[in-house]
Amino acid sequence: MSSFVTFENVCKYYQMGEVKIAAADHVSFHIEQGEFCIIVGPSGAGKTTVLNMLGGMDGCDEGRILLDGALISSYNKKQLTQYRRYDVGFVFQFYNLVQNLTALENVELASEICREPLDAKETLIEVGLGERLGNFPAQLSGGEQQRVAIARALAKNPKILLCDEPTGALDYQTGKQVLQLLQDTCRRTGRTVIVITHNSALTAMADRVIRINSGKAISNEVNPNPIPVERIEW
Amino acid sequence: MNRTYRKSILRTVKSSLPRFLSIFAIVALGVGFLSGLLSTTPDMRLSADGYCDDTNMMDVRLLSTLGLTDDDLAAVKQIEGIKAIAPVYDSDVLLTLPLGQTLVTRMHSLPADTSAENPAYMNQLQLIEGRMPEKAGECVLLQSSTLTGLPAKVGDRLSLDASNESPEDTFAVKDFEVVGIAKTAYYMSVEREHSTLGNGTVSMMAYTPDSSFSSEIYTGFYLTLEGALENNAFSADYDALVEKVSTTLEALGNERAPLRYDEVVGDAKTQLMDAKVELADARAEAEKKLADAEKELATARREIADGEKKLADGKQAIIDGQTDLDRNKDLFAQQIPTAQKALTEARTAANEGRAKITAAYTKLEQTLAQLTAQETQIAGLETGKAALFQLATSIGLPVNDGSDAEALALLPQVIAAVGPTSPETAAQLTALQAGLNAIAAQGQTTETARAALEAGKQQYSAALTQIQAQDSALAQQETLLGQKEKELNATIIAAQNGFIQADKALLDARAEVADAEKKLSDARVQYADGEKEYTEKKAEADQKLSDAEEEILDAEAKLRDIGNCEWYIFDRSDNLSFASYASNADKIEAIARVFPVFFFLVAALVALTTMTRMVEEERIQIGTLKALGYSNSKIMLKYLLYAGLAGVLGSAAGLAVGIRLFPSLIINAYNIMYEIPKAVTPFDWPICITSAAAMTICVLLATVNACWAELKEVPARLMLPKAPKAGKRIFLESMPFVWRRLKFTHKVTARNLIRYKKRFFMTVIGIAGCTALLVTGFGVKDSISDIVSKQFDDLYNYNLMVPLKNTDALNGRDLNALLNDKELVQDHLAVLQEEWTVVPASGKPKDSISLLVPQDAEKYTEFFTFRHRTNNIPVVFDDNAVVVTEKFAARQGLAVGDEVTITNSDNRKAVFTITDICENYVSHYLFISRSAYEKAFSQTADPNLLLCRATEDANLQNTLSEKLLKCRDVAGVQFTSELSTSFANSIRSINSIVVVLIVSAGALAFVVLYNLTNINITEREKELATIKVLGFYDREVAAYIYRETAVLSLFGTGVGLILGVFLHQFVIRTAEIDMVMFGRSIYAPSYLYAAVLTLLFSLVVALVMRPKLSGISMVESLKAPE
Repeated sequence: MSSFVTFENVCKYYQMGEVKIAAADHVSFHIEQGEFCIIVGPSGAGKTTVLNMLGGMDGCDEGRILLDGALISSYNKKQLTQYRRYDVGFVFQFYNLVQNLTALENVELASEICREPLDAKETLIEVGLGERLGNFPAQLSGGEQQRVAIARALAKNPKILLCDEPTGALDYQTGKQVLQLLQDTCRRTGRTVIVITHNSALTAMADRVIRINSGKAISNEVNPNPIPVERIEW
Repeated sequence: MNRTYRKSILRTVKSSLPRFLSIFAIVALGVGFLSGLLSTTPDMRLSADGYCDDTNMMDVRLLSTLGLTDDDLAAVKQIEGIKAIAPVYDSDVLLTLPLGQTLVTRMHSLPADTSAENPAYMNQLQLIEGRMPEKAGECVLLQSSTLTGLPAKVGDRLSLDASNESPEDTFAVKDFEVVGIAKTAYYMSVEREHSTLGNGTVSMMAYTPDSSFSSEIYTGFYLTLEGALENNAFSADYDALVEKVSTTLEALGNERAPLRYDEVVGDAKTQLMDAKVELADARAEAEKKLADAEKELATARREIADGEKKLADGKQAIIDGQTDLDRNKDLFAQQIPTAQKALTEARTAANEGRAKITAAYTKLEQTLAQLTAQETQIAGLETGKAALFQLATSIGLPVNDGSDAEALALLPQVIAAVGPTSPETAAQLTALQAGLNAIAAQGQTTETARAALEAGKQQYSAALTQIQAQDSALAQQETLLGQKEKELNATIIAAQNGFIQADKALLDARAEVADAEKKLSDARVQYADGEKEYTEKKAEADQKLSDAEEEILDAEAKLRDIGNCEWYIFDRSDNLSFASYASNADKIEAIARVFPVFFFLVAALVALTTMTRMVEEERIQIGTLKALGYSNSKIMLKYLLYAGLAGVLGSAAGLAVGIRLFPSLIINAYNIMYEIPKAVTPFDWPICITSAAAMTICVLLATVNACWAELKEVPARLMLPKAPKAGKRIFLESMPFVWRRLKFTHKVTARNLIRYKKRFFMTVIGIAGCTALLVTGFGVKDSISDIVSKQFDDLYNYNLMVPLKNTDALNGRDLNALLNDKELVQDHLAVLQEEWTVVPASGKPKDSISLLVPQDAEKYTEFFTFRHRTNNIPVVFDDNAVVVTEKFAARQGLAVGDEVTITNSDNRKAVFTITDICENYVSHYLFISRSAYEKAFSQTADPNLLLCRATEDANLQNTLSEKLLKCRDVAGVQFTSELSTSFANSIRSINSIVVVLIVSAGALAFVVLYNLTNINITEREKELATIKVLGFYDREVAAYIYRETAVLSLFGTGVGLILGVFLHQFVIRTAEIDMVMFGRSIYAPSYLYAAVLTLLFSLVVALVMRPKLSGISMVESLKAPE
């Protein structure tokens, strides 16, 4: 068991009135370090549940979740918070920037709580926002805001970068640029990047594709020839 | 309105319960507080009025200084508007309790019929224990909650103390049996009722049937008035009723009082004259007795002097006698031995003579014996010879011459012849023969022998005669000597006897002298005793005379006191407990008007913020409804209904609780002092509706305002999410040295604070209001408790006031003796205090003011601390000073240099120029010097009040009081401690208001902070979820929100502390009684308490909201923005 991320028969149930619904039903997969992985599935398939568990926002009811050898599934609330704090970088669909902070400050918001953060300003320059450091989110376009969000996630110097529908709120071109940024980041820094999306067209750019449906991981394939984002069309 | 729409409203309420509750709570608080405080005063009045009505409390009380008669009663009965009259006796009397203590008791009379229906039974008693008195000599005592407990109990017998002056004039009984304990509205609180007896304070109230009284003269009438029962005793209508009857009574009094005066004063004058005559007699008699005693003493003195002289003479005589005697004794001792020696020598000579004579006699006797023997011999021989011759004759022999020789010759023949026949004669003849022979032998014969014998006889006789002559001479001599001896012995004995007698006489004389000496010393002692007695008697007589003089002066003073007979008409406002209750009710009213303002302000803000937030949240829904064709008003209706529902329900809840809670809380607090059996707290509809409507309208207006902003926009715009409010740079960022040092979280806080202004103001005002209320609450307490210590400890440097009826009292012997007893009174100063009224400038109140004129201005500064309140700098008080008290100056708008005009009931006027204004809290004073008074009024400032620094010892104070009250022309005794205690008691209940304030302030703070925090959290749920996902610990998340709250709380607290100072000033000035200045300062701890409490409330809210924070799901972060 040397995989970087491992899900082993992970189950998550929700009690809806009298009915118990399995949001994740014996999900098993693994992701290797440095991979650009896409978890894909239709709405309601259990992608977000997997993301929540992987991101340390929620625990699992059965099975084991491991990251870099650590057994996440056994963490208590505090350990989960620390896990989110030090090991996970999160990119939201709606960016979730703090409106009252400038781009730089939003990155600092994350970097200031980490052990070995990257330099906030450099990170922003890296994502191409060297000119917009002092702008408030309301003064930035959606793509720019998502770049700030990615910079915020990266600045924490996390073990994995989790992205929830990072292009969901963006137009086609901007979405592509964001994906490109993510892919480049993965390639350049060797960081494990996990993108969750309903758009299976994106799978072509991934090193690994995990398909989820009805709370189950129905496939876990390695893509030997990922293609650059600009060549993908959807 | 359609069903779905209605449903939607209900669901909104359900889904946003915290928001609904916020509005509900602030409305409930505001309405409850407002209505509660507003109705407290009416409720207090109603409760008291109800109690008075239930117990048929008198409306008017008529007193006459000289009592009232049946004629007066008949006259009063004629007056219109009087429902019932109760003629009563009441008298202060000293009663002795079973355990021995004596208490000043106010004894009231009860009518014979004590059924509640009897209209003439006023100020009805309510029994607590035992039964009502039924006959003379029974009484009930008044229970009082503030006394430390009744000193007597049911069954005790209280006797009239011996020190009462002629109690039989007043009472028909000698003692009273306690048969019950009761209470009455007439004395609902125990105020210190003054008395001229004992220690000057009434300690016990008692009621006894009027048959216990012996007096013919009533002390007063209680009256109830027509229509008074129907009116609230605190209303203007009631006052008008009372005023009308009072005026009539006054007029009647002017008519009837002089009649009574003539009656009483006549008697008193006669008594005084009698007393004067008695005094004169007593003085004459005493003087005569003293003169007699003096004479006796003089006689005794003279006698003693005589005795002394005699004694000296006696002593001299004894000395002389002793000298004589001694001399005689010496003489005697010298002479007697000489005489005795001469006598002895004479005796020796006599004895020698005698011895010679005796020897001579002896010799004579021997001679005689010889002679006799010779005679016998011769005679025998002769006889024998004769017989022989005869015999010889007889025998015949011849006898011739008869010679011896013849006889001798015959003999042998005769012998031979007779021998044989008569031997005897023969023997005799033989013896004769022998004898004759013997003589013959001597050469003699019988005849010669005879002759010799005869010669011898003659010789003897001659010697005997000679000796006998000698003997006789000696015997004569001896007799002489014996006589001489006898004489000498007699002389000696006589002399010795004389000596003994002289000695005895001397002894006697000495004894006599000793006796005389003793007598003399006795006489001296007696004299000394007599003298002492004389002095004592003289002192006694002087004392008695001076007592009598004092008595006469007292009597004169009393006569003066009788003054004019006057009728006094009192109503309930003159009843101490009733009046203090009324003034307390007024105080509450003043305070009640101030506080709810805050609640309104805060309620409006809370409602505005909350509703604005709600409307903003439902922006899309509003747009949708608008797009669906709902009219603006219909859409707005939803929010109005929402707010209205919260307002109405909140009002209802607030009214339900507040209108009963606050009045009963406060009335109960006042029940520490007042015995109001029932707190009446009716729904006062005008107050209820006013407060509920005011608050609800306030909320609704806020809602309309919030909706209006949104509804102006077109639906299309509304359908879009509202653009997030852009971040803004704030002024702090222009100060990089500060900004750079801040952590991002602090930056967020700083920007947020400035970004959400409405929230900022709501919170700051809410918290500031809360702090201000607390500061005010504690400050009111400070200010009020201040007065007591400042006025009575800091300003008054005396602890005893003795009002005088007359300046003459200062010359009273007893009073001066007391004032000079340093153990009782350390220092004293006489002052003149007069009540005047200010002639106010236009628009200023017509205050009454006490004109205080000390006898000695400089000394007065030792009795009153003249200083400025704000800086403690002393105020100069000297002969030229005119100083007024601060509150008076403020009320009249007077400053130093201004002129103040005062006037009195005699319409006299005086103008003074103020030289300074001094600190003072209780009543208004105008201090001027004696010379200033005399200049202004052209009359001397005769003191009528004594200020004393008396002992602090409670027992000594009691003694002092008793003694002072017995002094002439002393009107009363008042220790400032009594004043301060009763004052302190009356303001103690203010504390309950402070508690109400603190609780309300706390509730306000809670609602505001809860609402703020709630809005803050819900509005930023997504942001919080995001930072949670970023890995913030719970405490960091909490800090992210609470830092804002904390800053706002601190800021609000700071503002509140400042605001509190003003609010406090305002409340204090409003609540102040006209005659009293409350302390103006708030003490540091009060600010501290207020600040700490506010922050504590914030902390509590923070803790309460903490679970809500932790409960925010991170999944929120994944949702789309609204």
